[in-house]
Amino acid sequence: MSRSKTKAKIKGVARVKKFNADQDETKEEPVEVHEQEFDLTEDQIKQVKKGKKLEIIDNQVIVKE
Amino acid sequence: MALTDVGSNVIASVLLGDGSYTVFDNTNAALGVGDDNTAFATGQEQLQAEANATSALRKGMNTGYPSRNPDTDGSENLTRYQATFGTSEANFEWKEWGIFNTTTSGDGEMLCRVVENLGTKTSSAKWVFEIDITITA
Repeated sequence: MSRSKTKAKIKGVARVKKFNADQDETKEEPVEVHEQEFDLTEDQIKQVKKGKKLEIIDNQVIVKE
Repeated sequence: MALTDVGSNVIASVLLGDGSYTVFDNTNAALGVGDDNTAFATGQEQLQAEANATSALRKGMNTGYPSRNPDTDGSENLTRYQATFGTSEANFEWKEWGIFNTTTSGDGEMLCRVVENLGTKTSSAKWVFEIDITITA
């Protein structure tokens, strides 16, 4: 039986909503929003491509080097 | 995402529910920021500003966070972490950030670390910091 591999991708967005000191951040709009997307680094992609595996030893999940 | 080695272990552990790590929930999770832009490496276990004893701060979650599908738009694979840094907190240049499972500097596990300049915070401002993490096939 052939085995298939599923590659999950993790990506995200960092968002800083900037308010003045006298603003109510729960009710008012921020004066500025800084947003930055992030993704796997090149180094991590290389590691995934190298097939880094996980092992469970004594109930601990270990990254196999 | 700049996932650390231990961050990979944490995700694998949570899938099994084996209790090896403290979970990144409302009680324990924290967003940390620091003023060190040392390049990311997967073996790092804390912010580099923490490691080098420069300016850094971890802040616990706002009420209701982390939240999955926070915009209730069907994005069940999206988790949002949110913390508010008040006027007296983290007043330095934000050059790095990470997600942690404790507010204690240098302690616990760092799920991920990203080096990017988010600006310089001063005491005349309060910043609401949000991180959205999405896992896709």
